[in-house]
Amino acid sequence: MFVDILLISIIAGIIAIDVRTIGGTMLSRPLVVGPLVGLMLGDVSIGFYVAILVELLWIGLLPIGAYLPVETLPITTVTVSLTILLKEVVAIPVPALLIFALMASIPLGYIGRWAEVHIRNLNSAMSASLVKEAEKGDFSRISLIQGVNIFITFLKNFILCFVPVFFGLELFQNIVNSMPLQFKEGVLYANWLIPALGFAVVMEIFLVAKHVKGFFLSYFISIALFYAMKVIK
Amino acid sequence: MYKLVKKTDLLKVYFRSFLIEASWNFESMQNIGFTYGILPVGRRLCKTKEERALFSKRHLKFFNTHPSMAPAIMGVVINLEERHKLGEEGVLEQIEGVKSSMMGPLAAIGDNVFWEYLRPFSAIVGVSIVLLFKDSRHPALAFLGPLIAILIYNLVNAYIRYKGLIQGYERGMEIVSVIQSFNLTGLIDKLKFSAALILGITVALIFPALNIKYFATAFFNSLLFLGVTWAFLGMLKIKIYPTVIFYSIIAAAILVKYIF
Repeated sequence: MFVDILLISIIAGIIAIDVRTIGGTMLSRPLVVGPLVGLMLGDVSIGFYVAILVELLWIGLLPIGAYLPVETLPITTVTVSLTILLKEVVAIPVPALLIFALMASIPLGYIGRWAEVHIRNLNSAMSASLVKEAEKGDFSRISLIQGVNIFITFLKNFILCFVPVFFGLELFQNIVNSMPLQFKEGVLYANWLIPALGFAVVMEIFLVAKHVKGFFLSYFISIALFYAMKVIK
Repeated sequence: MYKLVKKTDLLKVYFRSFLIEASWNFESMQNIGFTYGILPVGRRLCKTKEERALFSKRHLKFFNTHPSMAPAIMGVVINLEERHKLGEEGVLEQIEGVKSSMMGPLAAIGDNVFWEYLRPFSAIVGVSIVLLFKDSRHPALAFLGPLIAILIYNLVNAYIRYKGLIQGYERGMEIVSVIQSFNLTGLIDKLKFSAALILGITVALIFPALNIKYFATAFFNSLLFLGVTWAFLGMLKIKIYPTVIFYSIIAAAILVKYIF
């Protein structure tokens, strides 16, 4: 277990370098991280499900200018790890456990953003020192600062993924076990409502009045094809 | 062109340009990333200590643009640096003006095309593929989802970065009109239309994957999902945050369980 958690945190830290550093090549999106962590812990379908939920819910937040969005990487990693590690230990349905894990991990996204603000303030000091040192005509300092920053990004996300899973696993397990029955079963109703919310978020971005016709056209054609396939079978 | 700067230098700059946001700071934003990006050229052109000091000082000033658009500006700056080294007069004074006049418009294009539309679009294509294949007879096909999402985004991303750098170096300031000629805003409209079609397909066929079985007729299950999605869309339109709706859904579900 310890080795698993350590390995996942290291992988998450490495992928996190993409979030701000490589300028976002999609590798650090939940859609990729979720299945990857799921694959490493031996349950890809949970990984895919978490990936879809997190990806859709925060799809509209963009890092434009100096604005920092919620960090989805620790949310995805911790949700998938908690769900898979506890699915055989606690006696509640897996979809309910998954939603509780997601609720518990969402604050991590905000902690990550808070840490990022401080890292960037530190960078301002580094930048000022670089300008002062520029007099010496030494280029290697610039590369050094870049390297240090990449390592800080790795470290931040490693800690954000490792600490909650390693130290919070037992706590989370106790909380889930001590929940009343209504909590454990009621959450199952929300199971399909959350993807619906996710699709609403996407539609808000893409569905302009001009294309609503196209949306309904493809909706009804798909339904018709669905029935046609059934008849053929 | 290519008198002092070699093609391999430009290749190095291309790969380094991916790291432009590594040392992002609130004071001068991408200044360290930008200087780091064009260092191979700096090493090639500036041999003495004094030249290198001036080079660092020139480029460690405020800079901020969209990361995918930064290579275009790097290309123009490399062009000017080379002309300065070849002895042309008054080129150095242009650098600051070139940077500050290009970074705003290019950031506007980049933020709009890449972050507002291309990234959500590739994500929604990936999500749709995962949802439609996750519980089908070939679950391995679901891995195509993330793969295709990465491909769509990065084909455009890598192409614009490469074109921007090379054309920026070869043509100088003309690069702005070159990027405008790609008609990236026309791409947005195509993306919106394709996204509408893909959303239609996914919303129609999602109910088996989510296990919605309230009605015996499949069509009604699909309509139920559409109706609920439309209701949430209404809530988002009046500016309720998704996170707030998320927690409300769960609270409501638990409440329903207590009542019935």
